[in-house]
Amino acid sequence: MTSIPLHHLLTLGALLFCIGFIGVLTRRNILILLMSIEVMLNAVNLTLLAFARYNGATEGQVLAFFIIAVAAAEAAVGLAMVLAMFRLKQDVHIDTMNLLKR
Amino acid sequence: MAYDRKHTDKSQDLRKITAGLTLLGGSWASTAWAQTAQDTPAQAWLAALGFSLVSLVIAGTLLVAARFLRVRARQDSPLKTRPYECGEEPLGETRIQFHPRYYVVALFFVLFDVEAAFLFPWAVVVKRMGGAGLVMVGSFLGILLLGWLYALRKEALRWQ
Amino acid sequence: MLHDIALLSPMIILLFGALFTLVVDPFLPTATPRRFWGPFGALISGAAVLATAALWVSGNHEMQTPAFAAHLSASRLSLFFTALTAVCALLTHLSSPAFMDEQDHGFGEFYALLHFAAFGMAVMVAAESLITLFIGLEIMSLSVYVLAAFKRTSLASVEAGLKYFIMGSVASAMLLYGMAFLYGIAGGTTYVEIQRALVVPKPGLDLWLGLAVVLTMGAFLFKVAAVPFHMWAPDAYEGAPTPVAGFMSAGVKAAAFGALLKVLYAALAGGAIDSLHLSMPKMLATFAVVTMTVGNIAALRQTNAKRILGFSAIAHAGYLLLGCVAWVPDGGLGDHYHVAGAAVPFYLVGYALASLAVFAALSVVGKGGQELTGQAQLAGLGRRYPLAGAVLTLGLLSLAGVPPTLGFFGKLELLHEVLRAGDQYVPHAVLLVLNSVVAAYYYLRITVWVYMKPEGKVEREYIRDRSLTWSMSLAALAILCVGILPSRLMRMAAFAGGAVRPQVARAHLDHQLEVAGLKPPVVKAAATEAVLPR
Repeated sequence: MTSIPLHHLLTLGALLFCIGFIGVLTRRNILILLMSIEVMLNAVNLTLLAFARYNGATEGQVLAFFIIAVAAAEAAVGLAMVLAMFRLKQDVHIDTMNLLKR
Repeated sequence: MAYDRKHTDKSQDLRKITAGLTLLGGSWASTAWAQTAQDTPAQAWLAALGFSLVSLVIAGTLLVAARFLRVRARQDSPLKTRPYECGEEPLGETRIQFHPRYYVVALFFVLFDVEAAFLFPWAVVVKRMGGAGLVMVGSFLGILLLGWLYALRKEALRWQ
Repeated sequence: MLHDIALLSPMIILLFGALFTLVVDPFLPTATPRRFWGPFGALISGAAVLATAALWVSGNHEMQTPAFAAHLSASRLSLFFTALTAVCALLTHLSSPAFMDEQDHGFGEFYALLHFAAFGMAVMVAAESLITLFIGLEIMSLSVYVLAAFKRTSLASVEAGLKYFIMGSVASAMLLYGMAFLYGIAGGTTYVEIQRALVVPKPGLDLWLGLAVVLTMGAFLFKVAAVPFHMWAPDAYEGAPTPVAGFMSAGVKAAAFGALLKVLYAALAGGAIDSLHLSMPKMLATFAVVTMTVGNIAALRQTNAKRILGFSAIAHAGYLLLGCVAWVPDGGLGDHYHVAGAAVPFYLVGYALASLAVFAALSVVGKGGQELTGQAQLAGLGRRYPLAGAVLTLGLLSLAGVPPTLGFFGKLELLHEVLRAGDQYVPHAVLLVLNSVVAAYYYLRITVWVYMKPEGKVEREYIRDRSLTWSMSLAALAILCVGILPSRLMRMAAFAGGAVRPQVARAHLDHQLEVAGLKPPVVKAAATEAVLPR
């Protein structure tokens, strides 16, 4: 098979990144925010892998590996905080986080 | 309320088998056809087109088949109010609460699972890296082991 | 190999502290008070500072193993910032045990996380490639998010942590996306490779390069709490436990600026950046001015000392950002290349010490689990707890930039360098001075609360603790002593700023410049250049 042109992968990455970013901006449930952030990180992974393939260098893949690991740690920390928040006020919506003055 | 044949129109087993076979056969055929494609872009696109066509055909067949073959509850049957009209029997409540332990264990799984992924690149070059690689991976695993020890000691892994 | 590991000893010490604390703590009996981890952590951080000092004294070092050299450095700049972040960790370790015990959250993990954060900072400032930069940044950030939310029975603390976390994760994602494009353009992740790829302008890749720069800089603006990504700072500072807020404002900012200097001067410097449509120095200077103004004006209306300091941290981020654009030509490489002057490292020392002193002094009101730092809670502090009142005042004076404190000389040096960088920065410098005057108002207002407000009938109790006293005294002494004799530190800061590019990197660059000489496109092109849409 012919290889997929770089544009296509980059465009897909950009679209995914935008979807994630829009998700972060518009959704109010923190769990969905976490998912959106995950989408953004995976968009970056895709972009990195595309570049790594076209540059013939492996650093991109190394970075992608680390992103995966960090994303897992980030999810763990984020969920733990959401859990702590839920225990305190039975709510996981970001627009009700207004204890601290804006 | 137990599932009861008298609430449904027809026996369903034959239909299930038919649907399953259609699905299997269809995907086999489409995969086989996709594999016959050669290396030029035009043929690759053709294969993709064929693949989509086969998918459409399968989806269409299933939809049409369901129209005639589906097991349906009578209008007056209490099954109408159940989550699955097809006769599948729900167990327990719709909203079930997971034990918080699932969450903790799942988190540990995800973390250690991802860390294990770091071993694969090393495994590829294990001979070339030799002793130095062994030391590096050893220290990496050692740190992971300390994390595991911490979790163990904090009783985060105990199912209570 | 061993030589390189010796160069990494400060980081290894910090990591050892983190792992030791984390693993030994669960094996201690539950009833044992955990506050001894504080002095222990201070010892570990002190050892890291000593190791850094030893490396500094023994000369300018280069990594020998290529694998290390590509990703980490022990240059004077790295060492300077490693020492600074370790000092921040040291003072926080000393100031937090009593406070966290009063809040019923004095767990061993707190100290382990402080170590992890310090380790992440050390990696971040020593990074010579995007990979290590990212790893260090994330180790630091994840630890600090948890530290901010550490008082998990307090909604304010959890909310602060969550807000910080969400904004921070988005910023990391942006940074990574920018990094991905830098990698695509340069064909490598190390700063040297990136700079080599950017030696000559690349007309076809301007759009991509601009995108990469904007995303990367945006993430850094977030980390240092600069406009337009500053809104998390006051909330996070107000909600986080007070010593943690001190650590966030001092350590995180120092590490972020250390890394930013390297990225700006070692990676994103060169013809390709200069030829971008929107000039980066001009952009940064504009953001800097807006940041300091917004921070200072918003601080004027606040009534909670911690929140005021949150906005003040934004203002200081503005001053420092302006310092970052004061490009000084690199003598060895010609006018096209710059080194970071002494101003930013020097200013950061003063800022970090002052905010650690202020937050340590503010934490004394945390008796009995409360954490309020409003006017009513601070009234009478100066009379009933003279040391805390004095340290608070000294720290605030230093933040305001009043002589003879360290903060004054920091501002002076900053102004000097900004003005030396070119006439186009004169308006910015004037705004900086005006901002400092405005800022003095709210700093002095806190002092007025402490000394002159009626105390009311309630007899307040304060946290009085030996290690907290040590922390306050050390920070105050440092502010005064270095403030009176700043020249030595200034020289060290100048060394640090001059070492933004390690020798190995310079050698590569020299060679590359020679090759590029009169035939610009000779620089080895990454494969992407042919494939990216123009």
